Amino acid sequence: MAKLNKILVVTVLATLLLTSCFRDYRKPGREYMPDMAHSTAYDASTLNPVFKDGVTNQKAPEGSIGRGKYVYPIPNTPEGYELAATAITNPFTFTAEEIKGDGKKLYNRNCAICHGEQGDGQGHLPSIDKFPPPPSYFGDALMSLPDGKRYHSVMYGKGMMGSYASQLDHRERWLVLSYVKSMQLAKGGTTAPTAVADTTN
Amino acid sequence: MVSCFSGYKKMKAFIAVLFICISCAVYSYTPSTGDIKPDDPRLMEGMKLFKANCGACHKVDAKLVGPALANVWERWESEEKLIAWIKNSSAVIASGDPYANKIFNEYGKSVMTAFPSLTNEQILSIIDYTRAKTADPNFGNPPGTGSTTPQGATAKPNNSLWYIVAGFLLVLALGLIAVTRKLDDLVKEKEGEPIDNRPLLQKIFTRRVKSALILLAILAFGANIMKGAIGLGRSQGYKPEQPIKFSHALHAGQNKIDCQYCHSGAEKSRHAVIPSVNVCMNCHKYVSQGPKYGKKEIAKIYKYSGWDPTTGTFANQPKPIEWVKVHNLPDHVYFNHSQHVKVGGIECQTCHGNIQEMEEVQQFAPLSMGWCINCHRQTEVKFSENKYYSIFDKYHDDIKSGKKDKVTVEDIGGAECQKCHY
Repeated sequence: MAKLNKILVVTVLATLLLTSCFRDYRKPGREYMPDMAHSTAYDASTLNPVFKDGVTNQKAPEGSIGRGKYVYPIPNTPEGYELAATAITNPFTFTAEEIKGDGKKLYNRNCAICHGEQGDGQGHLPSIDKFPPPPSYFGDALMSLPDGKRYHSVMYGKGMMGSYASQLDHRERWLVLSYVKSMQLAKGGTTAPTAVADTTN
Repeated sequence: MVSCFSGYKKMKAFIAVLFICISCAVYSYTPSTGDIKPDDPRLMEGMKLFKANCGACHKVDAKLVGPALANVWERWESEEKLIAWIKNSSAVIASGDPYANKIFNEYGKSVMTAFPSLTNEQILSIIDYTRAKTADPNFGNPPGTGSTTPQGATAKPNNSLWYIVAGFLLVLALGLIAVTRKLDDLVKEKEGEPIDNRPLLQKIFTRRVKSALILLAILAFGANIMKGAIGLGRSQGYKPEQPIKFSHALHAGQNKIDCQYCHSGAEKSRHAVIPSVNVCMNCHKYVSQGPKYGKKEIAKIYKYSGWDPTTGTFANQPKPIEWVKVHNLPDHVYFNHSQHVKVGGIECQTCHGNIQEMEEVQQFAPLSMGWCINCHRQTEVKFSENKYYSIFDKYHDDIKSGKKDKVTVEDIGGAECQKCHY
């Protein structure tokens, strides 16, 4: 009987000691064959001892242009904003499906949180008083704003709005702007979306 | 008749004078800060106009894009000048007004939007609203939304009640067992049967029970080893500590910011992308205080981005944020976000769990091969809608003839080794 008691105690203790209750979720846990699991090449967003600042995602050297990348020629100054009004026009011609499809999707994802899905400046963040409300697209000032100034604002930000240059590429910026314009047209806007055949920029 | 007529004329003149006086009084009406009536329709009108036209660039108590509006009426030489500025600031600057030019140069020569459509009356109501707001910073806020109370905080479900109920039931069960045993003993005593006088523990732990327990312990031991071995290298439940206490529950849950607002690479590339700090600063140039940690955690973003909140410029040296990667696939597995998000149309939550409820991100899925393959076997491909799959003639014929009702990822090669391992 005493022997059975001993075996019982030993087995129960052994089981308890081995249970995974002791796992620390702050640590990734154990692994086998780490040489196959971890990349020898430096992955994006990992530390990198090769570069001085320790970052793998290096910025492109100044003055270089990535393949297929667009270079916005106007500087971020009040004069640049005025210049954009005449110098910058939409080089793309989008179909109605593109504007209503991807254009709307990109607008709802990136802009609607403040500008509102209807474009009235009553997005979710202003409505819960976490961010100041942007002006409605249907006021006098924005209704007649030239395309170039709109693009300039998306590129560099305007007022409280930040730059969307890193989240939207050249084509996407114009697609979103075309969607905004389609909303304005539906509310009696007079400026037709400018479509210029010139695609050199 | 004549006198009556002249009386009527006098009356008319009197009414006209009275009308002018009243309008002048209304025009020059400025509420002293002592008697703000919170439901004054004029102030309400001012608040509405302020939010619609001014709020995007101005705050009353702090500098935003433009200057703080508190005491703006004292800074201008006259009310007429201020009204002229609001209606068309460029004209006031061009007229050579010294204060207009000073403020224009101070704010980087950016032109304030002109509001020619606002009437003098409306502009004055806006100014009155800013007066009221200067005197009482909480003016116009909905009740209970002071800066100290976190907005929209959801109460966590309370589990302690269930523990209390369970404990109560356990005590009840033990009590009932004791009572029935006592009753059993009483019956036995009455009928003259022998009573088992061994202590309770010995009565319960008989040889048979002990053997069963040992067997159970050995099985549990084995199961644990199995579970541990299978879980090796999978890190399900991994919840590393991050350099900034960023809450997805707040940003994606309460604030309803789209996942891809920040993770903008999910549709375009292999990586969903950890947003660079400029994306944080889109909002946090303005939002400098959070509901849970106050200014402490957001101050860290300012440190990393080099933002100086006192001057409102990126004056300091920026430094990358060393976020800790939560979801790690072994290097010998290839995974591409764009294929799953853009082509497959899979929701983020399918693999990442209810991120919008997570205060801290935790690895939700096991990310094991079995888990991948299982999903590839079950998930239906948007076959006829995607032109890319038009070359799969046999499947299209099978669907037409009714032989197949759906095409899964496995059918189009989603379980081939080389799809992910190469």
